[in-house]
Parts: sequence; structure tokens; C-alpha cells
Amino acid sequence: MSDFYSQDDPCVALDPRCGGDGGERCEQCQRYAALVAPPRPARLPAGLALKLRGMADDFAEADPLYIRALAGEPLAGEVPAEEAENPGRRAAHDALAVTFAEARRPKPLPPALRARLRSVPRRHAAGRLPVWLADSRWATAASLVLTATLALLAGDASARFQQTAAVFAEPPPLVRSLETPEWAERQAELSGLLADARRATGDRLGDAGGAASKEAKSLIGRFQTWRVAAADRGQRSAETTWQRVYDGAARRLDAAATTLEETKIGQTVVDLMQEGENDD
Amino acid sequence: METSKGEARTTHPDLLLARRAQKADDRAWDEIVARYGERIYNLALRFTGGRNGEAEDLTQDVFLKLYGHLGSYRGEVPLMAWALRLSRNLCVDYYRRHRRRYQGTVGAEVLQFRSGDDDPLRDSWLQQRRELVHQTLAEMGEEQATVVMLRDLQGMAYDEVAHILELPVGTVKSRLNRARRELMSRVTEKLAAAEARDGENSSGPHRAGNGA
Repeated sequence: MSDFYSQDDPCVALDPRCGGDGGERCEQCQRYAALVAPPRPARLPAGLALKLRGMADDFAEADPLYIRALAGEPLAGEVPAEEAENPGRRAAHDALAVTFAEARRPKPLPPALRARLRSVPRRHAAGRLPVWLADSRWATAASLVLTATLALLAGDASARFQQTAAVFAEPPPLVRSLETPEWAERQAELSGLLADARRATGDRLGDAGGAASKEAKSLIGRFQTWRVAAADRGQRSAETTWQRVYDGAARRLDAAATTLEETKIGQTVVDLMQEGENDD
Repeated sequence: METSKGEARTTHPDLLLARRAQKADDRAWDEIVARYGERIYNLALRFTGGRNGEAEDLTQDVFLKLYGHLGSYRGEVPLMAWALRLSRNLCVDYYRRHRRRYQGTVGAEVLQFRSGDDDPLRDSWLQQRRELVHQTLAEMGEEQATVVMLRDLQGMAYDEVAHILELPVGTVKSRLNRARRELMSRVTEKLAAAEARDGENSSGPHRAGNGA
């Protein structure tokens, strides 16, 4: 038996020269050693930390610079090998990094939008009105014009006139914010007309109730149609919708004047309107 | 957790909130708005490009839809993902309109950011870079751009993204991989071209440290 068998690490090829006197191992032994050697501890891949943080569990297939940008990792001082071949890569990392970083700082919810969102259930319950219509200044203005028109048309309750006139005498902030010359002119006209009509005719306005309520129903129907059409077209058309409601109300006022001409009260109103024009 | 027939075995805490809101509990609805309003608004900014207040319109539309369908929420995923799935077509419509009208360029609402220092030159550079990334994203295919927006810009979990897009998680991951490579490649290409065009001086403040 040779010394070979007393070695702690015997040669797999039984070659007595293998590793003798601290020399090199034979080729067979080197191959064997490579096969059975435990794997060398791998370096932690750049993306693994990100994976563990749940940011990029598919990092293995992704571009490492992209992933580092996603994680907000700077490249300070480093010059990736790829950069030498493509000068845009580092710049791309930076561009993506600032974009992702900013995206992670959310824009706050605008207070006005928060209020609109909070009112969704109320609006929903109140007949599934689109929120924008119920809340927008245009809709408020339109509803006031409508109210005034209806009050004039219905004309059967002086209390309603008073109420409407009071609204115009002290318009709510939303209406005040309109501040358009046309609106101011029409507002003054309506306000004056209603006040004069109330003063001049008082309870006798009730005489025109029958014909006027028919007109009022027609106007409500038209308003509903406009509202639905506007909702279908989207919020951008809110202003247009209001304009149409306004124009429609104006047309109905003219029609109301024609209707009212047939009554004594109607004639009184028309006279008042004409007087107003003459004064101007 | 209170569950009814057909609801997921493991339900999300949002389910209770949704049930309360459905029963006209104003505080529950306010909680939903507080919890998800900002996130949905920020996502709406991405889909609309932050122009003409359309992000606000879209946010509101999503919440209107959410409220109208609260009764069918089963708590499988967070309420936000569920609401976005309901509103997916709506979001896509806004997104397509934004790409068609503005060729993908984003508005001030999106680009506005909090500057970290008083260097206007650097701020301008950062803004240009962000604009370029958004523009590039808009030039990519809709499917790829959407998945990057949801996952990388909004930080949504894979299962949320999968739920919104009605795709298996694996498909979301593979689509995201392709999208990321595509985005990186396109941005690199553009910036390399710009760098070659402008020379060394235009390479920007990243020489002094990156902007992340």
C-alpha cells in the first residue's frame, strides 16, 4: 500500500504522484473538486435588495438601470459599463428616477373636488343629478332664472314673488360671482319687473294662474331635456347648458307676456315692461 | 368579518366601509373619499395628462360610479382597485382623448413639482426630463403605458393592477417587463440623440449628482 492511501484527501485516479510534496493535484482530482465543491457565496445582485423590498420582483428580466431608477437609487460616482457604449443610458436613468420620485409624492386632492366627492351620495339620492349640475354656479344661476320665470309665469302667489324677489335682492355668492354684464342686466330687469308687478297687481296676479302653470310645466320639461342632454355631453358643456337654459327662459318670458296679454293682469305686466323700456 | 353569500372568503376591510356607506352613513363615505380620493385623483392626472381640469371630472366620475355600484362590491380587492375596474372604460376614453388632443404632452398639473433647492436651472432640467418621460410613455402602446402608469408611477400592487386590467398576474408582470424595457430603450435613445446633438455642455446637472 502506498503513501497515497494515508492521505486525508486521496486521489480519485489513484495516482501516487497526485499532490505529492504539496504539488499540484492531477487533472482528474481538479475536475472532481470542481464538481463537489460547495457553490461560492454569490454576490447579492443589484436588484435583489429591491426585490426584497417588494419593489421589483421581476427584476431579473428588467433593465437594471430602470429598476434602480424605480427604487430611486442614484448612480453617483458610478460609471456603468454600458454608459461607455451608449451615453443616453445614464441620462435615461436620471430622467426616469426624477419622474418616479415625483410620482411618489402625490398631488393633494383639491379642496373643491373633495367637497364635490363628499356630496356624491346626497346628489345621488336627490334624483341622480350629475354632481356638476347640482353644484356648479351655472346650474345655480340657471335655477334662479328658472325660478324667476316660473314665478312670473305661475303668478298665482304673491308670497312666491316675494321669495323670488328676495333672492334677487340678495343674490347668493355663487350668483354674485357671475358678474357678467349680460347677467347683471337680466338680473336687474327681472328683479325690477317682479317688484313692480307685485306692487302694481298684488293678489290679482292669481287670475293668470291657469295659463301660466301650463307654461311652467312646459318650461320644466324643457329644463329636464337640457339637463339630460348636457349630462350626456359631459361637464365641459355646463356653460353652454346654462346659456341655453337662460335663453330658453328669456324666450319663455316673451311667450308668457303673449299669454298674459290675454288677461287684464297680463296687460298690466306688459304695460309695466313697456314703461320700463320707455324710461330707458 | 361580516360576509354574505358569494362574497370572498377573505374580505378586505373596505367591505365594511362600503356597506356602511351604502346605508347612507355619511362618515363612511367621507372615509372612502379621504382614503382613496387623493390616489384616484393622482391616477386621473396620469390618464388625462392634467389638462383643463379633466382629472377632476374623471375623479368625480369614478366616485359617482363607485357610489352607484357599492352594493355589488364583495371585498375581494381594495375598493379603489374595484372602482377603477368599474371605470376602466371611462379612464381609457379620457386617456385616448388626451393622446389624440395633445399628442400625449402633459399639462402643468402633472409637471408641477416641489423643488428641492433654489436652482432654477436644475428645476428646469428636471422638468424637461420628466416631460420627456411622460411624452415617451404616451408614444408607447396603450397597454404597455397603462401598466407602467399603474405599477411604476402609482405604485399599485400586482394583484390590484391585474384586477383593474382583468388580466392574470403573470400577464401583468410580463407586460410590465416588456413595457419597462421599451420605455428605457426609448428614453435612452432620445437622450442619446439629444446629447449627441447638443454636445457635452447639454448633458445636464446629473454630472453633479442625479435628480432622484
